[in-house]
Amino acid sequence: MINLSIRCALFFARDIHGANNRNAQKTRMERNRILDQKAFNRLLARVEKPARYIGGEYNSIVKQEADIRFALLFPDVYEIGMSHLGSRILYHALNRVDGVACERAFAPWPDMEQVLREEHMPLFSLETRRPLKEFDIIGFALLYEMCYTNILQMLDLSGIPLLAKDRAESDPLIICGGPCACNPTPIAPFMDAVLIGDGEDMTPEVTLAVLNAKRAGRSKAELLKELSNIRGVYIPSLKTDETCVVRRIVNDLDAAVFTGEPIVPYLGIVHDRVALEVMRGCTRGCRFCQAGYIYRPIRERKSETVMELARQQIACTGYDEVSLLSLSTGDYSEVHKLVPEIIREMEAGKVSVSLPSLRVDSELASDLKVMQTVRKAGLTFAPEAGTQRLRDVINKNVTEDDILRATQDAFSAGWSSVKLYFMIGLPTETDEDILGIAQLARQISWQFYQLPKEMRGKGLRLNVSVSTFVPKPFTAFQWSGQIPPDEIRRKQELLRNALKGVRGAELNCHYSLLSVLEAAFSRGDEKLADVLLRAYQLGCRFDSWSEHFQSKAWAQAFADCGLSEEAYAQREYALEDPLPWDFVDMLVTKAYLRREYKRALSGETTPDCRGNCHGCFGARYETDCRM
Amino acid sequence: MKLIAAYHKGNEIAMTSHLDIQRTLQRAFRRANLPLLYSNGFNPHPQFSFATAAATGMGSDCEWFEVQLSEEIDPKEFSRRANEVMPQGMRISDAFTAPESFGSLSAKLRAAEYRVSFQFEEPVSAEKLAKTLDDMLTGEIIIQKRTKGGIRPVDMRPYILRVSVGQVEGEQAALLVLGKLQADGGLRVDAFIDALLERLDAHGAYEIHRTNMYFAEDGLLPHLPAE
Repeated sequence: MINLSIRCALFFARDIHGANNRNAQKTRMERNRILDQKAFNRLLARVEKPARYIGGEYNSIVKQEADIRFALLFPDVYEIGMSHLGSRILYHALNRVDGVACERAFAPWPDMEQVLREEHMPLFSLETRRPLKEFDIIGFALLYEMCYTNILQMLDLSGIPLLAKDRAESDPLIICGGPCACNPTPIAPFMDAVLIGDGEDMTPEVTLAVLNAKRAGRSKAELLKELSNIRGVYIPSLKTDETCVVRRIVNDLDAAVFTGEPIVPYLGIVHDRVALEVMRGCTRGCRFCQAGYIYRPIRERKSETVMELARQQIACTGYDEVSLLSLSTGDYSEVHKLVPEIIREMEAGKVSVSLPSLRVDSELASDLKVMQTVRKAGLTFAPEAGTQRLRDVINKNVTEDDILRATQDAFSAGWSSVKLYFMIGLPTETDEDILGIAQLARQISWQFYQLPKEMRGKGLRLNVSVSTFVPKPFTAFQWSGQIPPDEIRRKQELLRNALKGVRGAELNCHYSLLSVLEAAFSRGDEKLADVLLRAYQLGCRFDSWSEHFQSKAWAQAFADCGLSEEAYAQREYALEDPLPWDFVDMLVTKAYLRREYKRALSGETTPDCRGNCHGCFGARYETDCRM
Repeated sequence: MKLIAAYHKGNEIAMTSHLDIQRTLQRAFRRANLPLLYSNGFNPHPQFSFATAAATGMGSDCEWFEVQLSEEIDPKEFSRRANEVMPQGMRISDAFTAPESFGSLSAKLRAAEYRVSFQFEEPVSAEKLAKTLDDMLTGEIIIQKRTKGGIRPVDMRPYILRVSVGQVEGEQAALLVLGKLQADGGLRVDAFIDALLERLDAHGAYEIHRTNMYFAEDGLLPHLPAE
């Protein structure tokens, strides 16, 4: 089975690359077949959810003529990719530029991959159904490590050599960006350029630089050299010991480009609503949280801007739900102004408002009561750890009282479904911390059933969701290893037993080797590029989908390269060790992260940095943070 | 008021599901600021219903549906405004105001007509096609129907009202099929065509396009001529 898929891949590659006329003619024929709607529908009739591949959604932008074509690729299925706000921003940021056409493609589900291979058809864009190989630039969004094999799948299905060094002048420029780009090392050999930081200005800038080079007939080598001068752009082929890539940031969200008129998918997608980013960055300083470090400094959109965007986007999409996004919407300085206002205005048009990442305080409880009149959603709290000691270590500045007050408010407001997020395997964790999770759940359950029946909802649904800690680069815990798989399993069992008899509680913790792999790749080095290639050849795809995750193939890929995934995942670095991602400057200094690490080990918290600067950018980029 | 309308489902969106279409219509009507009437409760939704579902893969000229509106609106105005904000391949083709006590479309539905376009792997003559069909229609046409109680054989013949052979040229052929279609059951065109292909001993692909829907006679909706 595994052998077959390698043979398939090779056969396909040969077929596409064949320079002889017969093949070129055949490719043209395939093109016609893709463009003929009836023939195309016949192909799609063979796959599940064919609407993933049809394009033509309302507000999608089709430019038949363009000076430069950018294919925006999301290495997961349509329903996931279309839910990504960043990609939607880039789609508009690129398409609003005259002469630039930005089109989309998503990783074809294995059934579609099979059809493409059987029919010798290259992967195509949704807008003009153009083979991806005909684009000038292909840009991948890297949202999580476990989509890396799909990058290779999409390149392979496009007939583009996987490794940058094997690609010709005529091949598209392959670039990527997104949060995972902050440690680009494991995927660097596949990329011509990696964009680090906020993409809304940088991506059009890179695109126009490519256009200029194309017009001037400059070589790829010359182009790459030029691109390396753009802030935020990393060119793996030009890396030296002196290379330092400084993260790009956008200063003013009110002035920044947003999603324009967002595409309205036919298919139900994961986040099927208008998403409005109210704020970027977070001031809390949770020590495990990569987003909390790599999106600094905090930047807010004015509530007027958000209201204006809400009106405009509801009008042009017809969506009936708006979601306010940020890392911590409760910290948004205008939250008490915006939330009631937007709920009131949207309610008139039968539009509901959802507030993920909301820290509930008592003032907001009254807003929540307003919210309930439209639609009742579940509430989620993230204490992350079971004891105050461990919450201090990770700098989750939430006390047990805060949590209990929030759940009390929610229960009295009529909520009966609450989700609690925790992590196991955090640095310094003991069994007492695990038991603390159960203790907290017990208190919340008790709290619910203490309320008089007429004042609360029917039955409590207390979902205790527990994931395994994955140390990430550019966090205070970047030097820490992940706990071994046996330990993960033992701690999960401990918690399962401790939660027995807690009324309404439901434990949600699936053991998966996936978090081990995620840990290996998030702090991975250049050797993992070989592992990735090998895993792809062994048939790995859609690794974040449990039905497709092949832990044996991954183990073999590591073994074939003489490496161990557990060793990577559990690797402890000393504070003075060089790290594979040291050449990337994410603005937060290594000295600051060291300080935070030491404070963590001694259980010292660091307060919210709003109005209380801890100097995380050092002297160099101090002015980039206007707090 | 209740508005009765039909939408056209073009080839470009034939591969969408009925649920996708429902969502798409609803959003288009919201974009057009049409006065939809919402249900009460915590999860208010506009009140829509369809004469029947449009299968994934099938295009159509005539998907009838009804929608409740909170204000009077000229049906022409309704169509115009909706069509301005429709995605490609989708269009409101007919609309009229339902009189009081109109009843539901699904209860009135009686039959539908389909155009089936074949792309055979090898040429099939018109004579062979007509002969095979004639033979088939003289007896039972048993298909395996998936029901709640498992798979059971069902005779499709009683549901077939008329089949005519259209243009046949080389590997391509067209059929026009008129079949019963009611709330409690109807012709499964795809199953019938699969059975036909088997009898023909031919291989190939086909598309089904709904060309007409027929309802119980009420003077407003298309109905079958009395035979």
